[in-house]
Amino acid sequence: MLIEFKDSIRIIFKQYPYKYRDHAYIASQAALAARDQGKFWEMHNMLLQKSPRLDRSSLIQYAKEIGMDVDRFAKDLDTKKHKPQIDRDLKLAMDIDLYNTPTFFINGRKVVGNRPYEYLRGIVKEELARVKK
Amino acid sequence: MKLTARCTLVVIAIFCMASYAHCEEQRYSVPIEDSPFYGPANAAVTIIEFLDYQ
Repeated sequence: MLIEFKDSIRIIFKQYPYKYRDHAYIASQAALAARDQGKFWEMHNMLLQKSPRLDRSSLIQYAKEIGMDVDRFAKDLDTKKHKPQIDRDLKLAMDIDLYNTPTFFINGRKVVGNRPYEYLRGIVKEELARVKK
Repeated sequence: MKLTARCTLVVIAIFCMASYAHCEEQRYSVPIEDSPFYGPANAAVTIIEFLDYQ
């Protein structure tokens, strides 16, 4: 989608780690710690590819693979540096009655669950047409 | 059909149409804050995704 609608869309990621999944929270921490080192996309893609193998030692290995400062990364995980941001995203999700992932808001239109690319593409095209009116 | 019944049907129809329109137009205002993003700030379409990596 980023390729097809290159200059017309912006994608923002909010963290919604399920509390009953062992490594969901630390994986969110890893994504944000990577963001601080300019490696969000590399880590984001790595996490999606490697899930559910997202324990601490695996995450540190992934950080090495994408060329991060591993000491800083590990410190960020262990001190829970990004807990405030993750908890803020979780509170926001609760405030808007969100209980499933992925959930998308496309110009505010709520789309819940995994959907075929064509479905999301259709909504984006509708929104582009609406904005052009 | 009696006038009262007709009026009732019209009211129900208007209510149904209004509900449908409300659903179609419902949009959520989700703050972006400092969340990771990709794409230009002035993009015509903004997609906010809540995700869980595990």
